[in-house]
Amino acid sequence: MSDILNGMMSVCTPTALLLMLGGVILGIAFGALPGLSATTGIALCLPMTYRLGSTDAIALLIGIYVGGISGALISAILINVPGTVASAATTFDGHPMAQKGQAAEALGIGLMSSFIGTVLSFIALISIAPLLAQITIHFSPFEYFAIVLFSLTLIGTLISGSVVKGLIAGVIGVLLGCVGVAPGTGTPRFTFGIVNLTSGFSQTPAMVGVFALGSQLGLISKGFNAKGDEVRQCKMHGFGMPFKEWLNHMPNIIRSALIGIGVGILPGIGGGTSNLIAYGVAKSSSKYPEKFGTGIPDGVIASEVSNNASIGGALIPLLTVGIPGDTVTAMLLGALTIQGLTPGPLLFNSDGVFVYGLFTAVLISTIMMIFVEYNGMRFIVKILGVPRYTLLPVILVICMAGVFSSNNRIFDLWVMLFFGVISFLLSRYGFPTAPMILGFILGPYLETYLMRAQQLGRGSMMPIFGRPVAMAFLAITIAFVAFQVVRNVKRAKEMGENPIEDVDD
Amino acid sequence: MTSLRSKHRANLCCGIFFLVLAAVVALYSKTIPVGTLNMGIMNSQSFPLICSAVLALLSICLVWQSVRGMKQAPKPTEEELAAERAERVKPLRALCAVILVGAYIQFLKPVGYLIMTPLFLFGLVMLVTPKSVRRPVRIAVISIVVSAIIYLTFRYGFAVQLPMGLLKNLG
Repeated sequence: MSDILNGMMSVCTPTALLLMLGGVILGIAFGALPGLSATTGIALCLPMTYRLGSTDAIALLIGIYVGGISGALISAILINVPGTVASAATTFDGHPMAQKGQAAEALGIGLMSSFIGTVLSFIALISIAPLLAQITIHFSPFEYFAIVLFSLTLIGTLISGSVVKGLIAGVIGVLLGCVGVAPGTGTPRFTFGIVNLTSGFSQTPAMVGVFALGSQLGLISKGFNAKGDEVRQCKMHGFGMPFKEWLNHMPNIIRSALIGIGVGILPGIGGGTSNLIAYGVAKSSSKYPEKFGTGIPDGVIASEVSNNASIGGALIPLLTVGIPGDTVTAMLLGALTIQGLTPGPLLFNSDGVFVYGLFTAVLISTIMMIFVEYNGMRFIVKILGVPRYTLLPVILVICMAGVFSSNNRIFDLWVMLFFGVISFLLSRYGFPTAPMILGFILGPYLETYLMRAQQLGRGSMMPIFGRPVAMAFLAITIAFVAFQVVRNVKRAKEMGENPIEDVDD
Repeated sequence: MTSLRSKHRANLCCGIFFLVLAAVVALYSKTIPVGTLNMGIMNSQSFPLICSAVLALLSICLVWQSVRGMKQAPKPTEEELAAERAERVKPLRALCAVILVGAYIQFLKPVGYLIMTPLFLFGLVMLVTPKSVRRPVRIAVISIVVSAIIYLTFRYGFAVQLPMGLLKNLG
């Protein structure tokens, strides 16, 4: 109980609240701007968290996360381009509403839905995470090995259209994670005599390279529009519809929140997938499915509730087993490591105050998000008008200064460039980059748990057969890969096409 | 817009590249000292070797899928070929950006942040700004002002000393 109260108090300091507010504002701006995302925002601020305490650092990053997911709805509604993939389904009904002159209503509905989605996921987070941590604390390296393998496979197979390409990207990431001293044996691998590589690639420059530089190289190669985006101005008044009407949408809200939380818990997929699933389910279970896509609140509610509900969902595996649920939580994992914290079930016992501080930060950021977005809509809309060809290079320079400052090493900038180029090349040839970065982060864990499991089994992995949880995860992993392969082959046969046809787009 | 056949050809090249990479990783892994600690059947070589084997298997799958796809894919239309030709030039801009970033990193320490950053920012914004809206004076002013703001924020806000290079007497 004292941990809960102390945790709540720890994020209620003026510094933490200011950082959270700054994070929410930055997150909303990054989410709203197509081409940028919450991940880019966190990549920008991650190196700066070296200078902050653990609670202040997480307050800033959670603020960006919450703001970034919600901010994407603004550009989705106003310019028909989702700020991030998490709001892709918001364009289906949000933009038609704006075209009908109901932009303010659509934004109000989207905003309230984001708020409800995050609050519901917060409830799931505080009720599920501590219970799950009680279970996972008894896990041995066998269970952890199976869970990490399951996560890597799921990320590789679900994130892109092609199982093969997703898995290749994941393996490339795992191999990049092998650089440096081997766990357990202390032997340097793939260092090629470079002393700076002995401890492997630092996570911060690697992630900034992928999410800031790599994505920008992609945008640069596509070229920018000289005109910029045409942005509609609008004045907010209320949350789109009266309270009574909101009550009528309760089944849609609850269903979409459950989808968001469930999808968020699964490794590798978050708001980017949940909004599309929730939209599809809302449409198929609606009494008027034909109206979907013409500009009705139901579609906006389904998309925005679910993508925000994924926030709490994605934090659950990070806090209970130390495995990131998506790219943003992968960055949060990096931030926690910087602070000397090890996410996992032990965190609840060793740093309970920090965990409850994080929970509180999610709630406070959500309240800040609705307040800032509602009152600052006019300014946010103006940001959308800033040409990206000026903004992106400036963001890159800030990122580079941040990367340098994290260790005061020029070498880290080279690491950033290396990862940026790899990520750009992979994206260009249709390989998803998220499995690569998650493979890079999870790879060392996989090897470590494999080694520890073998030590525990005295050189054998056979004891894994006596572990029901580990076996269940391994069975799901095998079944999942088999299912994906069979589905692809079946689809290819039906269409008379090749299974990887739909990969690149 | 790229034709289906070109996509399969690109996938084939990627598959072959990753197959070669898997072989190189496997060969290199065999040269890693195994370490002195007894870890059952696992040693320093094992994990990279397993990864290279998985990569090789996946690469073979990609090559097989691509070859099969190329056989089945229809011939590209004139429109698709023209679009492909237009697209081929674009990665050059990304390459120039990579060279700019590389040069910035290389000279950051000897020349210094305060000189290199405005130059880099000016070069990059000039590179990515469409010709019709490119105004060098305005971009130069933005580059200098932004660089100065970033420097002051890091120097006095975060107490980080960015490389001063030629201007080290100012720091």
